Amino acid sequence: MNCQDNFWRGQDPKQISRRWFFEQCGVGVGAMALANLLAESGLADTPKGDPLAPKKPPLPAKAKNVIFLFMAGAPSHLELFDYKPQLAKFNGTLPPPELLKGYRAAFINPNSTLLGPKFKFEKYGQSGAEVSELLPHFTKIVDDVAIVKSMVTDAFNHAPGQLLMNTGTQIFGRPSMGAWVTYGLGNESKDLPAFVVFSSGKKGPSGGNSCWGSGFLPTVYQGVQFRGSGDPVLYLSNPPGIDADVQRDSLDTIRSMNEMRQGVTGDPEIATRINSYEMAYRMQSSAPELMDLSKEPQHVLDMYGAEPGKPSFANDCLLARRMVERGVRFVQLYHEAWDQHENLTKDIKVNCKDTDQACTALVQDLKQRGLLESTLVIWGGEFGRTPMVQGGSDGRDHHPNAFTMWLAGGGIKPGITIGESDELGFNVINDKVHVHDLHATILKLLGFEHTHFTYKFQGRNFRLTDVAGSVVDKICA
Amino acid sequence: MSYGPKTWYESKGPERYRRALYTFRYRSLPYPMLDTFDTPNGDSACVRRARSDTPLQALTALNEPLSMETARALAWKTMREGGRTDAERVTYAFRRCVSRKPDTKEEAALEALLKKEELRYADGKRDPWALAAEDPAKPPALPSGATPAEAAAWTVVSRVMLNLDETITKQ
Repeated sequence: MNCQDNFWRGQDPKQISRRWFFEQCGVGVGAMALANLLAESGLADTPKGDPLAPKKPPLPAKAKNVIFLFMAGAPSHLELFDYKPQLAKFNGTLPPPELLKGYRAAFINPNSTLLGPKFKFEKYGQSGAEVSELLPHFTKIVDDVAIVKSMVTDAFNHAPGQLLMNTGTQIFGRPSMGAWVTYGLGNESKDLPAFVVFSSGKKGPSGGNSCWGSGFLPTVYQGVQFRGSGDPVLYLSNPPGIDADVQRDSLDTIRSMNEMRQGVTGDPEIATRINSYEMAYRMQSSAPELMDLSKEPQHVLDMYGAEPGKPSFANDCLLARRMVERGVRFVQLYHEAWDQHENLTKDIKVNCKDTDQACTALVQDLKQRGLLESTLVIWGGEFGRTPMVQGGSDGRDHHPNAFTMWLAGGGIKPGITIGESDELGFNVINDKVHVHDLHATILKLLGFEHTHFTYKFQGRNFRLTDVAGSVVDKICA
Repeated sequence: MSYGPKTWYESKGPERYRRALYTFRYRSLPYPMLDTFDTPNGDSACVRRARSDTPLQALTALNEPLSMETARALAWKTMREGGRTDAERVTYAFRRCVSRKPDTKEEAALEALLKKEELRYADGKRDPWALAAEDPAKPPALPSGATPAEAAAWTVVSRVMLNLDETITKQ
């Protein structure tokens, strides 16, 4: 919070921080008099509601929880879901010039030769969804998911693309989807954070912690990053010489002194601090229990391909299910490895091997536990890959004009495919779904009309979808 | 330890106390502790840092080795230089943390904690040096009249003061 934030947020005068008033704005004796007046009128009372208390959404909701499988780095739609025989036919030729008008690529000269799909496709399930041979497990759940082959985005580089997908804008500093959802619905778990983030693969996402930031929303809605193995978060254990009793005594004193300070300054951010410390204490016992996969039956571990103690995307998927069972509102799994500018054939195989089985197991497992109905599962990256080749004969550049995502559960119509890209997989020609439209749809499933779900900041009402977005009714059950 | 496959090794000797400015930074992977406190990634421009307040920060400020060393250092400084009575010492340490004197309620809360922990660490079930000394086998010399339990209790109280919202937050 800084000096003007209270005004920008349009906060109730009761909530305006007196700490800010006294300490930052250099007001003198007049302010003291005002403080007395406020105290007499009862306006200086500190509001102490729990910002994470579970809330009902304004509209009927299908989904209560969200698991976002974020395939960071951007997987190739052309190798996984969007089969283009024409692209195979024109392999090695230049794309039609009219296609490239105004097109910008991140690295390649757009006028590069076309590259045919590298893998075989077949139709699966009742729905007849076309899926690549790279995803043998996924073919078992095609009738449970809705595939959207007509995604478009505005960004063609990773950080802005990931920020757009997560926060609705390419600029740093806006609240992430998980923060919005937590702000709107609160937390159903007393002992775990409402919004948890995992990261597997080669590195974290390019957008960094802004991908799960709270932006201008109160910081209590920020995503909390867990590690896939060992101590789920760093410094979870008490340090040497401190036992449970001493830790509790210490936290009691911290809490009561923070409360005293909040009584004096009225700073609402102190409430967040108190919450953080209490949650930290509860996590010291809840997190190790949650993370202990050794208690899961062997057939469940096998289903995911998870191995206790060995960090993997599979472990994270299983942990995501365990979190949803415990009431965690929004779980986001980043797997950063999909940026195949070169070595496409080899590397995309590795990625699919690392993720296909676990994604499939997650949907199946949620379904058999009756959790899929209320849990929205989203799979996708920040953009697609170019139909044109990069780096010789085995790579693709970033491509924002067309890519594929899939969704399951939480009010999604199962067993359908919507949208279509053109013959080369270059542009969307049917049922275009912009990232804003996806956001509007996710919010609808959670019980929010996206144009009404706002937060006032810098003098205007902000939305996750900002000034765009319309609900994709076709994928809603 | 980090969220990715990178390891930072703990420096030895005086190197250990160099500023974080000299900590090695991978472009796409900030140092984990700094990451917890909102340091941005190095691979894209950042015009304004995200600010957060998470349980992970609380765990770091409470339990991380550097935090413990800091608490210990404040405890020893307070015992040696902070005056003779508990009240004087509480005021001394509190002022070092938040630049003001504690009011009567705050002072009472901290003194109560000090007494309680002194009893706990004097009960023989806990080793006070495990908390109050860097190396429990080689504890530092106590100021005259002080007990190991007192040193442990001051470490607890110092740790609490260093974890107050007012200490952590600069508005």
